[in-house]
Amino acid sequence: MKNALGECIDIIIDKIKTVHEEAVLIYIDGLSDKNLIDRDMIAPIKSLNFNGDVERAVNVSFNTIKSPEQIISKVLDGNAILYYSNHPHALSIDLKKWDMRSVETPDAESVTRGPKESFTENILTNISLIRRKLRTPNLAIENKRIGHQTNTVVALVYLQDIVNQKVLTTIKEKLNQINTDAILETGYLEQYIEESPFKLFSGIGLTQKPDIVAAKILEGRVAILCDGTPHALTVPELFTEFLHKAEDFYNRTIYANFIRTLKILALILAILLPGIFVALITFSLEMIPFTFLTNFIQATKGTPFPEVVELLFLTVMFELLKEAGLRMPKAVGSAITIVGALILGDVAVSAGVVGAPSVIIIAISAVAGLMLSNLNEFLLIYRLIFILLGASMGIIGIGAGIVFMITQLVSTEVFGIPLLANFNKHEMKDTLWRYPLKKFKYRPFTLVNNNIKRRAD
Amino acid sequence: MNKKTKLLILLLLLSFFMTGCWSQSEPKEMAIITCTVYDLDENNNLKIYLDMLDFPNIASNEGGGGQTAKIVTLTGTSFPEMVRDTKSTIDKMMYAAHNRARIFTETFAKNGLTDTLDFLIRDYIADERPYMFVLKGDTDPMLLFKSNKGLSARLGDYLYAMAQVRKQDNDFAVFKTTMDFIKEFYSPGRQSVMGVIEIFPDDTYRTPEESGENEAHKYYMSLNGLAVFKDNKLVGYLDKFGIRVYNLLTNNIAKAYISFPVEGSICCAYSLKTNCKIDTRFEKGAVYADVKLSKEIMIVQNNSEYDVSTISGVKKVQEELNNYLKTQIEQAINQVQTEFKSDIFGIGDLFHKQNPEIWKIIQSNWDDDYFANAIFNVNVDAKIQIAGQIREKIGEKAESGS
Repeated sequence: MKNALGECIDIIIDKIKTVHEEAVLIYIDGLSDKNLIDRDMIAPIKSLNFNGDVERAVNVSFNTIKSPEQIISKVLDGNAILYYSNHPHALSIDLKKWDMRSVETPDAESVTRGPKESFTENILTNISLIRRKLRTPNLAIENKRIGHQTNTVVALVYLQDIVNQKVLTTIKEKLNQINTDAILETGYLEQYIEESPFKLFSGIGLTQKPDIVAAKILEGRVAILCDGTPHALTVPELFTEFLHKAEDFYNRTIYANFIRTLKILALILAILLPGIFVALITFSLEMIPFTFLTNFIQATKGTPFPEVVELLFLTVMFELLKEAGLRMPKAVGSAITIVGALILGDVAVSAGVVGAPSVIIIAISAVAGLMLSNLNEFLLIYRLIFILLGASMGIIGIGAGIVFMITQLVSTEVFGIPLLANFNKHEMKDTLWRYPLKKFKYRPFTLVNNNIKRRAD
Repeated sequence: MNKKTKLLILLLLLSFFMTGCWSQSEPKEMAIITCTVYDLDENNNLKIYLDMLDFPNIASNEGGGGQTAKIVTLTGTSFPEMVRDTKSTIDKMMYAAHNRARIFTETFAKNGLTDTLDFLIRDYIADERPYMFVLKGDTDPMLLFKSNKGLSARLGDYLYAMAQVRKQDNDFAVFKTTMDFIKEFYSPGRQSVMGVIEIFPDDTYRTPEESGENEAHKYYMSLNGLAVFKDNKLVGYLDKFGIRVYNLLTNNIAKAYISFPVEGSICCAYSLKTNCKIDTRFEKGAVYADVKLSKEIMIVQNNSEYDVSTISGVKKVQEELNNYLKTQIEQAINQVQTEFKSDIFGIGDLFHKQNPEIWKIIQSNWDDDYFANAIFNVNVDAKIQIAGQIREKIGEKAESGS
């Protein structure tokens, strides 16, 4: 056994002398609860009353194990193994306990209304968080192990009577095809099961919040949990989900729809504003109001670069600062923000490197982009494309770009379902704006094939 | 890469070459023209005054403010030639799409605007939004730039703002954009008109030291006026009552103040609604036009003896207003028919719509013959809807109470 596991300081192999025969106890220090091992395993068999029947002596439930390979995998999972020389099989006893983070508030998806718990690194805790939301026997949890070295537990969570079977089968197939030594994070899984690494949309959603997972499962999606990761993947993720938030459903209808309107506006601004601005400034000055034009010239007459260069420069600068601020420790992060605001907002303008209007345009576009943080990749790429199109072809280029973008969105499919599938007349109750909750009779048609009614008859 | 992607990339490339980077521009490399004045010099050469935006070279980050006007005078035989010359004197690209006003001197307008219009319509950048005016008399155009411009910094801005504010309620003026003028020019049964600028010396002139203001002006502008064109040439001006009639007959202004005499004293009415309907017919070789003007008015000042809160008083005042307007309309129509022989009211257009067959025959000498001899039958129907807050004339309480 020592040969198989190697000489590690955390692997404890104890010989225990009892009144009858000798016993061997194997466990990993740090994964099993020492106190319980002492109390429920060692103490009973060491006692003077021990009669040699180890199965009756231990105070806890156990599994019997026959092969040495099984012993190793059980030990690595955190079980304690008791091997009694007189007994034909080893006993595997589940006394797992290790240090872990408790359930905390989500840092990336903070809410003012609604549950504030988020997933932890422990998959069992995460599953229990979901099960507490969905107390139905229909909740299916399938788990499997992926990775030759890491042996990571991956769980598929879905509702048996609602789930889209097509999607479920695809995911299972793709998970079975994964052949790798390590799955360290959900990101690994995401990249292994997505259709193409070069598509702008992977079709896989990411969330920290069990209530969001529950809501998505209820609409026929599949959630994928991965041990050691405080995130859950939900499949498939359609375009409208980027515009939706859990709070849309917790808040009352009018306010929720107001926020959705803002998001749609933010989407348009984040993608198109810099492009349209540079197109107007470069080709269609007559469309700009006279007073704005004079102010614009006043503000930019000392700057050395064309408008398009300024916008590209500022876009890159903003992404740099965002990334730096995100990765820094919180205290330094605020310093980065101050430096960014000073350098970009003020010094760059007063030093005549860029004009104030470009800063405003990129700032508006970036702030709008932050409102749709899930869409980062899409927004950034199309923002750059539209800046270049606007600078080279003007308004006509912007129009061509919009056609190109919409064509791409419409033709994209994720896990067999079109990205814009819920822009159909049956699902308009919750596509861009949402109806009052009382009006929701059906689950989304594009995702759910059977058990479509939300209401009990 | 599949076929669709290839096709899309091809289309994008095509549009890249077809849209053309040739019109690309940088605003900071442009001289923005806000007002143009067209004149003829002694040798009948074109002479234009360009009012350009000038940004004084000070480090300013606030934006706005600090702009002044720079006036450039050019002479030449054709517009493109002058534009070329400007390029050699002004170190920026000329940009006229934000032009606010075009002003023609009287000599220029009498000479005809056909050449100018050709250039303005043909050019890509020259815009159809600027307001057009005739500078009355043989005033030096430079005085325009020296006159009082109200609260605006530049001449173009002043004229534009005046048009925006005043065109709804000043019935002694007309404000026509280049587009309006061109439309009237191309319309067979209508002659074009234009606003008028008249410059007067300011009697209340005080030097900046005396008044304490930054700027003082010896002259001021009056925009009350209407220039009558015939076949694109200036033929004369209408007086202020003539302009009111023009505005009434063409349904140009719905709301305006009208002062009228009622047995020696003056009353003033504010019209709430105006509608003019003209029916034309052709009888015995002559054109007949029935003008029906209906108005809803509010009494804003009543100095007459009549009590506008009684039916009889209202009827009397209405009658006086109807007669007053009828006389004015008949006089103005008569002046336009005899003096200018130019159908600025668009009677020909109406005749064309109402009698298309006859129009084809008489179209060729409409202005000189048929319009000039048309018989007008004017009918004014003004109704007092509101008599104001008080019922009786101020000052009558003492008499009635005693």
